[in-house]
Amino acid sequence: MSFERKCIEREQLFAFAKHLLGGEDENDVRAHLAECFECRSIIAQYERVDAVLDEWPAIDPSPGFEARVRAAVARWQELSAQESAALSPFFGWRWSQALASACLVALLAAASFWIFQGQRSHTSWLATRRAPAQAIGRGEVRQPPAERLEARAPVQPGEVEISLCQNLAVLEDYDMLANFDVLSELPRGNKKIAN
Amino acid sequence: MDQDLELMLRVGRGDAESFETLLRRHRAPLVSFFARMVRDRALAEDLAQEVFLRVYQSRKRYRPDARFATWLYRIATNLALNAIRNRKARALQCESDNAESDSQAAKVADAKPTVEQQLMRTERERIIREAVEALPGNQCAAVILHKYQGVDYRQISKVLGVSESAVKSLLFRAYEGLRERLEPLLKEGHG
Repeated sequence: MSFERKCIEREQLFAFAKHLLGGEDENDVRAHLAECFECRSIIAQYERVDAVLDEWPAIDPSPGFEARVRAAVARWQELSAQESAALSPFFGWRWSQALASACLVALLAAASFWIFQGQRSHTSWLATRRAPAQAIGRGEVRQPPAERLEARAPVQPGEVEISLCQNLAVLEDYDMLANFDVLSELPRGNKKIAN
Repeated sequence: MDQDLELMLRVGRGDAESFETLLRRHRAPLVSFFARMVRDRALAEDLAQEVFLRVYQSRKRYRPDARFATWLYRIATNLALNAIRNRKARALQCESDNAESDSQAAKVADAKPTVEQQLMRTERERIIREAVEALPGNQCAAVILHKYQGVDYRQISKVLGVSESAVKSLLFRAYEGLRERLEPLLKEGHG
């Protein structure tokens, strides 16, 4: 009985009309269409829509279209060439300026480091003179371990002067002077100094 | 390899002749696509020119990930949808555009039919144009790409950035809308 037959959904019929179905689905729709007038009429509607749409003609480009495109491309090329020409000296100057600045900063940093290192070694040398007299007597002053000097807190210039004044009494002792690095390294044949 | 794709790669290497070949191959389909989308011949040519300019501008960045036509129509569809949005925003301007495009369409209708035939044909074309234009943007683009540009479903899905099943659904809904709007013409044709 035809009224008991279940019709296929429109979307499925559209897919059939547009050849979007394949295999078993297509065969099922085809078999259904063979005995369903309603579904055949729906397919026919889609085909008529396509036929009517075909009446809408294509529009060809005007004769000057290609020339306009070429002109637009040429204009763009010209503009981009001008832009790059205008920008390149600016960027070149900017880059050279940046490079020069970087070099200057590097030089300043190196100079600061060098000056700081010089001050630090001088301060270290003075700091060795702060050692107690007993330690000097045992000869520890001659070759102070580097790590001990490093461990000390940085000595302020004023503090160094005070330390030297405090050690003046120690320097008057002849035995202590005999152990003093500079004097002990003097040539032995020099009678003036020996006396 | 896709011939267009090879031409495009040559354009990227500085071959001006290959650009000319691409221009000759795609100018008519593109202008026609835009004319159907925006219903204005002058605007259609402007937009087609813009597409070719963009193709040229991106010649060195172009990567052959998809078919050249897919890429071309993706640019074209975006431009057309933008133009339609802009036109809809200018509602008053729209009326004058319609009148102008109708007169241009009349000029486009070629051959030497009788005045009555020409009027009838012009009227049918107007109904078709209005029916297609009344579709939502994506449906309109899908119908034009499918029906007039011969773009397959997979490419349409890439152009519109949707799945293939979504394209089938878009087309189904579009044809349902067209079936209703074109009813007078369908009856005539059937009769």
